Amino acid sequence: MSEEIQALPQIKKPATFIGKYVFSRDHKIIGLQYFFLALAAALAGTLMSLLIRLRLAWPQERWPLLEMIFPNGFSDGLMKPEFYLAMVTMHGTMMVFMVLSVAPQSAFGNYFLPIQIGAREMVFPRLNMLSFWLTFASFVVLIAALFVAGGAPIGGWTFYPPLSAIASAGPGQGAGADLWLVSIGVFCLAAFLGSINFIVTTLTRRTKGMSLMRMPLTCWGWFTTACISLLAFPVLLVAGLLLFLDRNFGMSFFKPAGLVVTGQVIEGGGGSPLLWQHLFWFFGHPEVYLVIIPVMGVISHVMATFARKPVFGHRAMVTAMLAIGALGFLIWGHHMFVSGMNPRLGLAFSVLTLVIGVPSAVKTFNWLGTLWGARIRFTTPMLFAIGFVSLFVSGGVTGLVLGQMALDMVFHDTYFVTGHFHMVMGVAAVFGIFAATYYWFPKMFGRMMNETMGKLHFWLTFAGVYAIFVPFHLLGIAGHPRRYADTLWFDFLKPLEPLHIFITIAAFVTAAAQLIFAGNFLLSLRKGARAGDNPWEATTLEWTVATPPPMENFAGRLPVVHRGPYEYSTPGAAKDYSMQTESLD
Amino acid sequence: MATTLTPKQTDAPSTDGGGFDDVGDGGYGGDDGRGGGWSNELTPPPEGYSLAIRLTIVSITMLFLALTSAYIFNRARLQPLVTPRVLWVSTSFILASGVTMELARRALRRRLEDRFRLWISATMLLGLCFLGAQIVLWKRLVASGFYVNKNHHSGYAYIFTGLHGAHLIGGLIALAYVMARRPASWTAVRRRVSVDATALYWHFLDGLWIYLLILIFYWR
Amino acid sequence: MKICELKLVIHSPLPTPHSPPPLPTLMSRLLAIAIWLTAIVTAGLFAWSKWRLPESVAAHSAMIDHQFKITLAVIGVGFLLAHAALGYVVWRYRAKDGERASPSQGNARVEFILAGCVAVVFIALAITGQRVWARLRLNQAPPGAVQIEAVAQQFVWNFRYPGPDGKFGRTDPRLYRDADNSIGARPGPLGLDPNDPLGKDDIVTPTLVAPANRPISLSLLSKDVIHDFYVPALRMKQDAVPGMKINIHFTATREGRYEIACAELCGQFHHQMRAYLDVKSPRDYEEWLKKNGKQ
Repeated sequence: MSEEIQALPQIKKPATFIGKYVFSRDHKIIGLQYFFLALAAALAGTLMSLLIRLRLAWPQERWPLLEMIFPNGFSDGLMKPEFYLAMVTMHGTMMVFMVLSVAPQSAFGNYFLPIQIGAREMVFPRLNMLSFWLTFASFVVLIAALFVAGGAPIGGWTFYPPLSAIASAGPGQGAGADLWLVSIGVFCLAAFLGSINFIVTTLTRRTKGMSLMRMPLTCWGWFTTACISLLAFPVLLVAGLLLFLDRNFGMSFFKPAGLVVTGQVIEGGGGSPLLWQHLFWFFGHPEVYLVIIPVMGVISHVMATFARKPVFGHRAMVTAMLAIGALGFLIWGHHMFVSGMNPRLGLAFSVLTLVIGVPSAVKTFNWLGTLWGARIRFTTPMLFAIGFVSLFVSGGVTGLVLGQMALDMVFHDTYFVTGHFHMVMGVAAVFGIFAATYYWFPKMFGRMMNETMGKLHFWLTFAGVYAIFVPFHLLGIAGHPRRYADTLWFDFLKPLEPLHIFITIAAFVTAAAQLIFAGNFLLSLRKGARAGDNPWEATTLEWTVATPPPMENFAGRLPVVHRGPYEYSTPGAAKDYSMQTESLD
Repeated sequence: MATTLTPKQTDAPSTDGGGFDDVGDGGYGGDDGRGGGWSNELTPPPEGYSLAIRLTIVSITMLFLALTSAYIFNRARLQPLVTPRVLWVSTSFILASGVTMELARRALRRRLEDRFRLWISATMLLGLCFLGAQIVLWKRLVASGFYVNKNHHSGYAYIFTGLHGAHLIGGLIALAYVMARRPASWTAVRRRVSVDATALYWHFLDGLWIYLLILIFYWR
Repeated sequence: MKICELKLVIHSPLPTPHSPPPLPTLMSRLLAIAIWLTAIVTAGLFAWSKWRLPESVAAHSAMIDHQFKITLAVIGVGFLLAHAALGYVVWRYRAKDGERASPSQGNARVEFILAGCVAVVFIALAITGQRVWARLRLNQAPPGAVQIEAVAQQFVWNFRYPGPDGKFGRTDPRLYRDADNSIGARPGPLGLDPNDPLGKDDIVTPTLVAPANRPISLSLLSKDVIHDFYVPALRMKQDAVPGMKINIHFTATREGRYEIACAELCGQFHHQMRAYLDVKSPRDYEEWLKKNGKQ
C-alpha cells in the first residue's frame, strides 16, 4: 500500500440553516426529519383515535366544544357517523403509513444504518432527501383530505371499492378520497426511493471487516424491510392508480355493471371489487411485516445491550427475519376468506398463514433465550423491549385463530381482528419505537432521557395497552363488528356498551401517559445529563463515534471491524463488552 | 475518536473475520466483509449505480406484473381492440435505439468520445421518435373509437403504454445527463458505470415494450 | 501493525460513568409480577364464561365452537408458557454487582426441536380447521334446500323467495324502487321485471324468514357496495359483493328472531344496517309463504 497520506474525503458542510436542516442530505438530519414527522403523525393519529373512542363510549353525548373545532363533524354537538368513519380511516392510514412505516425504518434506519455498518453516508444522499420530502408531501396531502368539502374519506384504510370508487357512495368519498389516493401514491414513490438507498448502502458501503453476519440485527431488519418495500409498494401504486382512474376517468376496473348508488345508476361496468382486495392485500400483508421486522431488529439490539449477553441464535434470528419477509408475500389471501374468493384458495393461504407463525415463535424463543442467564439492566429501553415481547406474544397467538378459515368466518371484521392487529403490529411496534427512542436518544441528542419519567411512562403504557386491547378481543368474541359508529341499533351489542366505556377511559389515561414521554423528551433535550459516547456500554459502531455524531460520522479513517455485533460478557475479557472495533487479542 | 485509526496508519489490519466461530452455534461467520473502507473512501464504489438500477428494474417489473395480473383478472384481453400499423414503426424505433445504445456503450469502452456522443444522440433521437410514434398510436386508437373508457382492453392499453412512456422519459433524462456532463468532472470508471447502468435500463425498456406489445395487441 | 492494535486497546473509549439503574431488584420483581399478573388476568378473561361466543342456532356451530375451544386451549398454553418464561427470566436474571452474564450464543438443536414442535402444532391446527371449513363451504347445499336470495344495499337487507314456481324472476337495476319495500310491491326495491312471468310469484321481504331444521341455501348479492351478511347466532359471515352471486348454506335449529348485521364497512350508516332472521316452525313457514305469496 502506498505510504502517501491521502486526503480524507471532504463532506461539504452546508453553511445555511436551510441547507443544514431543511434540504439536508445528511442521513442523520434526514433520519431526524423522519422521526419528527412520525411524531407529528402519531400525535394526529392518537387524537383521532380519542375522537373515535368518544363516539363509541358515549354515542349520544353532546360535545359543543368539539363542534367548535370540527363544525362539519358534529351536528347539535353529536358526532356524525361519517365523521366517526372519517376518523377511523384517517387514524388507520396515519398510523400505518406515516408512523409505523416511517419511524422504525425511515427514521431510525436512516440515522443508524450508515453508522452501524461503518459508512459516512447513504449511497445516494440526494435521493434520500427527495424520499423524505416526498413522504412529507404525502403527509401534507393526507392531512389536507380532512379539510376539503365532504371531509376525509370514510372507506377505512383498506379503501375497498366500490364504496371508495364512487364519489356519491358517501360523504368524504369525493375530493377527500382523491387526496387520499394521491397521498398514498406519493408515499409509494418515497418508499421505493428509500428502499433502493437502504439496499445499496447495506450491500456496498460496509466497512472493512463488516461481514453480513457481523451486521447488527437492526441492519438486517432494515435491509429485509427495504427488500419487502421494493416489491410491495409498486403493487399498491398500481392499485391506487387504477382506483384513481376508476374515480376520475370513467373507467371501471373495480366496478361491476348495474350498480345503483343513492338511486343513481352508475355508468360503466365489468370490473371486479375483488381485484382491489387482491392487489391491496398483496401489498397490505407484507406491509405488516414491513412494520414489525425493523422493530424486531431494534428489540434484539436493545435486549442484547441490557441483557449483557450475545443475542441467542444470531443466525436463526436473521433467517427468521428473511423467512418472515419472504412468506409474507404468500399469505395475503387470509384477509379475504369471506370476501367471495374461491373458498378452495383459502386452504393454501390458511396453512401458509399458520406456518409464518413458526419463524415468529423462533424469534420469541430466541428473545427469551437471550434473557436466559443474562444480567439484565432494567433501563427504560429494556423495559419497553421486554414489554414488546409480551405484546408480540399476546397479539401473535390470536393470529392462530384468525388464520383458520372457519374461525375467521366468525371473527372476521369484528373487534377480535382489531384487537389482534393493534396488539401485534400497533402497540408492539410502538413499544419498539419507544425502546429505540430511549435507547438512541443519547446518541442523537447528546443527553440522557430521564429514567424516572421513562419508567413511569413504561408502566402506565404497558398497563394501558393491555387494558385497551384485551377487551377488544372480548368484544370480538361477543360478535361486535368493527367500524360501527355505535352499539345502539343492535340488541346483541347493547350489553357491550360498558366495555366500550372502560376501553375509552383506558385509552384516555394511556394517551395522557404519553404526555410524560413528550415532557421527558423536551426536558431531556435541554436539561438531560450529558451523555458520553457510549453510555449503555454497548458494542456496535454507533457507540464508537462522538455524541452526537459529527457530519462525517467517523472522525479520521473509517473503523475496521473485528468482531460480531453483540460480544457481551466474553469470558476472560477485561470488560463485560467488546466493541466491534476492538481487535481480537 | 479513539477507536478509529489516525490517517497516518494506512496499513489495514489484515486479520479480521472468523474469531467468533469457535464459541458455539450462531457464530457471526468468517467472511472478511466488503473490504470497503480503505480504498472506497476516496473513490466510492461505482457499483452502487448498477445495483441501484437493477433494483429499480426489479421494482418496475413488479409494477408491470401487478398491472398484468389486473389485466388478466379483469379479462381485458377478451374485449376488442384495434392493432394500428404504427405499432411496427414504434417497435422498430425502440429496437433500433437498443442497437445504438449498445454501440454507444462500446464506443465509450474504446474511448471513442465522438462516436459515443453520436450514438447516444442517435439513441435519444430514436427514443423521442418512439414517443412520437406512441402518441400517433394513441391518436389512431382514439380515431378507431377506442377511448380510455371504451372498454377494459383500451383502458389498459393506455395505462400500459403511458407508464412505459413515462419510464422511457426517465431513460431519456438519464441519457441526456451522461451525455451533457463534462467527462472531466467525473472519473472514467464512474462514467462508464453510469453509461452501463443507463444502457441496462434502456434495454429493459426495450424488452418491456416487446412484452407489452404481445400482451396488449397480440394475445387474445 | 502491532502499534496500531495497541493504540486501539489503549484508546478504547473509557466506560463512561454509568450509573446502574436504581433498584434493579425491585424493578425485576415488579416487572416479573406484572408480566405474570397480566398473563393470568388476560387468560382468565378469555376463559370467563361471560365472554363466550353468542348463543348459536346453527347446526354447524358445534363444529366451529369445538375448533375454537381447541385453538384457544393451544394458544392459551403457548401464551401462558411464554409469559411464565418471560416473567421467570426477568425475576431471576437481574444485574448483580460484579457478575457476568453467560456468554451463550444459542443452541441450534434446541431451536430446531422447538421450531419443529411449533410447526407440527400449528399445521395440525390449520388442518383440523380446514376440515371444518370444507364441511361448511366446499360442498353444495343439499338438494331440497330452501332457495332464498339476500340482496344488500346501503343500508338495508332485502330477501327474495322464488314462490311456488321455484324460480326467481328477472330484475333490472333501472326499476329499483327503494321507497316502496312492502311485501308484494312491484317492481319494489329489487326492480322485478313486470314482463317476466317467473317473477310474478316472487316474494320480497325485509326479513329473512326461514323454516327451522331445513337446510337453507342463500345467494348473496349487492346492489351498490360490498356488504357482509353476518348473523352472530349462525356463526356465519359472508361478503355480498356487487357483480357476484355468492352461495352459502346453513340450517337453523331453533325458532326465534335473530339479528342480521352488516360486517363490511358500507358507508355512513353501516352501523344501522339491521334485519332479522325469523326462524319459524315448518308449518308456520308454509303458512307465511302462502299468506304473502298469493299476489
